[in-house]
Amino acid sequence: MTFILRRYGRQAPLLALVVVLALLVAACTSPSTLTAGGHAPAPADHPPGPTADTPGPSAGKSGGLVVHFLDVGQADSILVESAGHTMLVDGGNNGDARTVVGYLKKRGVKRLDAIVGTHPHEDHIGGLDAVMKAFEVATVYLPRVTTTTRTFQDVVAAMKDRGLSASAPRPGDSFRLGDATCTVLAPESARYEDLNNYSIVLRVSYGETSFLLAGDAEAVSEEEMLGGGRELSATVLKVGHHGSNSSTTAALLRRVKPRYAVISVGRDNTYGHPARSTMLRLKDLGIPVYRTDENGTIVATSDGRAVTFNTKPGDYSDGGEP
Amino acid sequence: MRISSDAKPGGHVREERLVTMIVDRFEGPFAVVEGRGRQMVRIERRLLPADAREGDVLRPTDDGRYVVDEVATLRRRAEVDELTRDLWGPRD
Repeated sequence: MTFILRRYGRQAPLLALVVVLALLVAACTSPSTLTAGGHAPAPADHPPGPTADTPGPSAGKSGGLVVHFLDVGQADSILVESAGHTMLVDGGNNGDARTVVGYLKKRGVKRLDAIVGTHPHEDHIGGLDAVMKAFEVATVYLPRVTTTTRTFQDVVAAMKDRGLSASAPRPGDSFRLGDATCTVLAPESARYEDLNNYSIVLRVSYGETSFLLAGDAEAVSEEEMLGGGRELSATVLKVGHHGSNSSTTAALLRRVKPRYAVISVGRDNTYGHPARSTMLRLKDLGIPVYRTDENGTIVATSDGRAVTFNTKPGDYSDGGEP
Repeated sequence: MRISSDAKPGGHVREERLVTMIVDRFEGPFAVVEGRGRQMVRIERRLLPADAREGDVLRPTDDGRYVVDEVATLRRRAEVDELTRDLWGPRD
């Protein structure tokens, strides 16, 4: 033991130098370019902004947990990396296919351990067929519900093409992703009025940190999660349904107690997202909010003890009246 | 899917036109509708029947409103049911 200590003690100056160099490289490659180049003028709700720069491709490969909230406008797409393992939660709009595939390629992704289509709305599954064609995929998680759009049909066709079947996870199920553990929190029920509530909700934990990825789950599903008795606390909450007023109840926030919130939302969207009520709730609780309409692609990195972001938080402005 | 025994040229095109508009989702006062070539269009919800649902096939009417094409909707649902029959493992 003393031997080891002495050894490292002697190498400490060298170690420090390595750390400083690594930090310099990180500083040069990530945040400032992100916020500056994040957005083209956004006409509709589908502004596929230019692909943002990302942190060095080694982050998340050798341990730790890196969660990328891609700027796909008024849609969701989240890349989770840990110890060389990867998971894509949603694939943006139909029009975001190239953005999502391009981002993954730039990250050096060759194979996805898991794809999660939280629920079959176009702004969540739109780009997934392209992703399935471009990458090797091990497991596809889809809630057990269908819809009639050709967008959904394209995803099913791509799965059949690649010989993939779907897995419908149930609350309490969990799986490993590198050093992280993903636990399923929803959907609890077999039938809902609205497709949003079928959303697969995941809690991705690593060390003392965790991310709650809420899909488009609304109050109905949130209430079920609150009644489920499972661990809901999270360092980072991916706010449900683009910050709409149908999600993120005060009760949910009290239980999740997020230290940070992320909202995936399109600039100047016509739906009034994020809702004033949601933003006020987050502001009242003093929770910093990162949002793709202001920050572009958001990269959150966990070392198991704390989560750091590639950019500064956005403001609490809301999407106005729809 | 074959439409009918109607083998007239253009028959398929007509069918394509009929199933061109499918309600993907509702967002506040809007229906987000999948149009031709999977283009997403927003339609004010008040222009749709009050009982229109996600997955319904819409047909425009002459007065600028929309009705649900029940037959085309059922046909789409049957197609998707068939396509997804073995997608998930058996329910346990």
